[in-house]
Amino acid sequence: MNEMNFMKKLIILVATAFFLHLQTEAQNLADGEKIFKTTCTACHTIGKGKLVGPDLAGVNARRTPKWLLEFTKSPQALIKKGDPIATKLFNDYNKIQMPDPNLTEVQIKNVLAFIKSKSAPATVVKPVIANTKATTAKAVISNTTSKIQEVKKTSSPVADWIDAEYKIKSFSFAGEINPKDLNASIWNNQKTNMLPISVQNFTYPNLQTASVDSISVKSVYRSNQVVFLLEWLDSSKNVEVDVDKFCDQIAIQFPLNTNEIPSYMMGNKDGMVHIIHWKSIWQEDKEKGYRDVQVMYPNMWVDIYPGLESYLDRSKRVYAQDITSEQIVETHSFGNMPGTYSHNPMSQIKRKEPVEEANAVGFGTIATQETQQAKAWGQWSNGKWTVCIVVPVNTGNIYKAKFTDKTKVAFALWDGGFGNIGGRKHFIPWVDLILEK
Amino acid sequence: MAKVNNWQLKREMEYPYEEVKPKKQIAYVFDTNKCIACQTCTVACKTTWTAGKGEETIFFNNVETKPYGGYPQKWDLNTLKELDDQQWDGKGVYKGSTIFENTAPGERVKGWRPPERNYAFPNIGEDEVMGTMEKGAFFNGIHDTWMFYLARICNHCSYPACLAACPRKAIYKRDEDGIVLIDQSRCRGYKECVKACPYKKTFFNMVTRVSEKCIGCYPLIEKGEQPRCVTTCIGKIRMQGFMEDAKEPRKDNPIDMIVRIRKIALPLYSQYGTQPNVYYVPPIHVPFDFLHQMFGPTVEETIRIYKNMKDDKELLAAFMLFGNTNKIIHSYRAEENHAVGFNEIGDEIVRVPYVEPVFKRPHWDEQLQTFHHNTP
Repeated sequence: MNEMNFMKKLIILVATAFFLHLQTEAQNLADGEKIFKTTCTACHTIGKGKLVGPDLAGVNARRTPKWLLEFTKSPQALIKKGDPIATKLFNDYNKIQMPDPNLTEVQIKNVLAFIKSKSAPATVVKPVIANTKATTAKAVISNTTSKIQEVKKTSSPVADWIDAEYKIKSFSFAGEINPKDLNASIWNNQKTNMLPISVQNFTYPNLQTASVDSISVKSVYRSNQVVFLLEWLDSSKNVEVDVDKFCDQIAIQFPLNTNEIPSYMMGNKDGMVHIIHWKSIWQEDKEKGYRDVQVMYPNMWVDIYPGLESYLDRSKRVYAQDITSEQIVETHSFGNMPGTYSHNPMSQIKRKEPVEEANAVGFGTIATQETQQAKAWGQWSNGKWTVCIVVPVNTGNIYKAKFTDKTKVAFALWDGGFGNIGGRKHFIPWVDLILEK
Repeated sequence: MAKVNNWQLKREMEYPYEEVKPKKQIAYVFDTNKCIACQTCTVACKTTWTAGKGEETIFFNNVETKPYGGYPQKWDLNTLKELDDQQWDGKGVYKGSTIFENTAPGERVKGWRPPERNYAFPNIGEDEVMGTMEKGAFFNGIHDTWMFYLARICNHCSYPACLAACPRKAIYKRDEDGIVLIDQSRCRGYKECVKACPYKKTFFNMVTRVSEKCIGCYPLIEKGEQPRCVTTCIGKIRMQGFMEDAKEPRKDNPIDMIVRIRKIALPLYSQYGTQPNVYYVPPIHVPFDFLHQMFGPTVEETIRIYKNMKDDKELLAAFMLFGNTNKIIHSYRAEENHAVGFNEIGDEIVRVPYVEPVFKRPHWDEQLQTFHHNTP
């Protein structure tokens, strides 16, 4: 009798343990799938061919678990250590470093388990032969009726374009280019490079749905300037910033050192990038004066801004709601504007150009440069942005791009109408920029 | 995601960073039963910190009338909608998911960003009661309907959602006192913190184009003084101190006594999972189903203890110290007739009698040749 009870209990215990085991395993796989989809899919597939990085089907069999764990934790550290496999991968994949994915050991194990579960056993994976042309991107710019196309993750245009080896040829010119002259004749003769664009889904927070699918790029250069004319479709002109308002933006990125190309996602620890960033709000500031409270909310009323009224000429009957941010800055009374007081480059009331030069060494590290030399101007009409950016290069300043006849450039784009901000952005990985003689 | 321990939920939870305890954790107790919504705290804070250009709609401190009030509007309702199931088991363990768990792809925190209109009506719902009055209703000792005032500041959470969401790492929690700050020179105005904070206590400044939040009056804290919203409170509903977060609660620390030992002040919406550090004595006249959602499953017991406070001298003494000194009380003692508060090095800084002495003056004053009236 007792034995029977014991056996019963044992069976129940074993069954429960087995059931729990299955349950946690399912959870781990689900977790792994989630991480794979948000972090890895921009560069890797499982059995669908190589993208920016290798196809991961069967990777669990190709490498040891220890190596996989270490590499996934920090690919950059392993390359630096001189690990032969990591170095070979780095060289085989166009010297593009995989960014450190910032995952815990448990998360990595879950991702690896997910990859294993999706890898068909012992089949040779054929790389998918990609289209040499990004057909989706081709006709878009000429189509002035802006239509928003969702980029399907499964057929990411990044895949097409990596194999197509997109190049931007920059042609030499003599004389000045005024970025405000967006219809300058020099642009008529230049070749248009259509570059498909994808969404940033490597790191948090990210963008899940694309609202722009390509950028058209033209480029010319002279001794220490490379000039870009960038065009893309955007159904709405977004030039305001407030709690739920976002502006349109575009940025160009250069590696500082062309011998070792850093991660196209804002560089990496030992690979600094030079970023040139244009914002429509900054341009609006230049065109119409600073976007002040009374500009955005003409019916606003404020009783007092304590202390500020005394700086202004009271005989002119200046009321609190008339005091502009520019006046506050002119009178050096910006103690109540913490961002401006802290010299935050975002809080500059009087900006010289609608563009900013910055450096970065990875996600979340962008820092404004001290010497600002870039110039830019943009225009939105009929559902299309056209932005001209003059990039200073080879100036001797160590924080700016330096190269002889060839380098790489990458792009980021923000669609303000779709809430794009910070890491919620579109991007194009490294593209060759060739200075034609 | 790391696993961290959340004592308010009695379980581990996911958080993007490892668990790190500050040396001291700033904590506040607000007694909602004493608040009259005079907004003195709001004005004191506003004139001290957010009187500048672009800060017109920034209220580090606000007082709203529940159930209908809220600043920004729907700050609480919309976050509650983000959470699926918010059940607690019989042992007080939270069974639902927090704002850091089961997030959507690409998101670290379940959040929502209020549209500008939600910042347009700071006084909405003020003094409005729940339900309607029947025709012919009259006051007979117990009100037929209810409302209460909820004073709100940044919770200086142990697991701040604003900090978790910031891709710039521009938000940090100070090691010396646990105050959560936005670095004004590092922020680039992505507004991820505005979206993530479930209490909506980070604000976007449209002129400086970066975000700002309650700074816990840290220049005062560094001098050993309580914040402006605490010391200006005319109803004496507030006390600020430090909580023994990492260690066992100390019986002579008034905050520990109220929050950890007697447990009569409760965190607001602890199910969000940020482990907030402003603790509320719940209102005693509000239906429990409403209070359960707001202050967790132990609210009945809390109110029972609160109602019996007059017989609990140790607890009473802690409450007597509210609003009677601008210095931070690190420890206290319940003496026979007085509650006594001490600073960090053990000097006496405040002495409050349990019962105010009564002075009776003669009706006719010979010296001034006038009558005195004795009013209670």
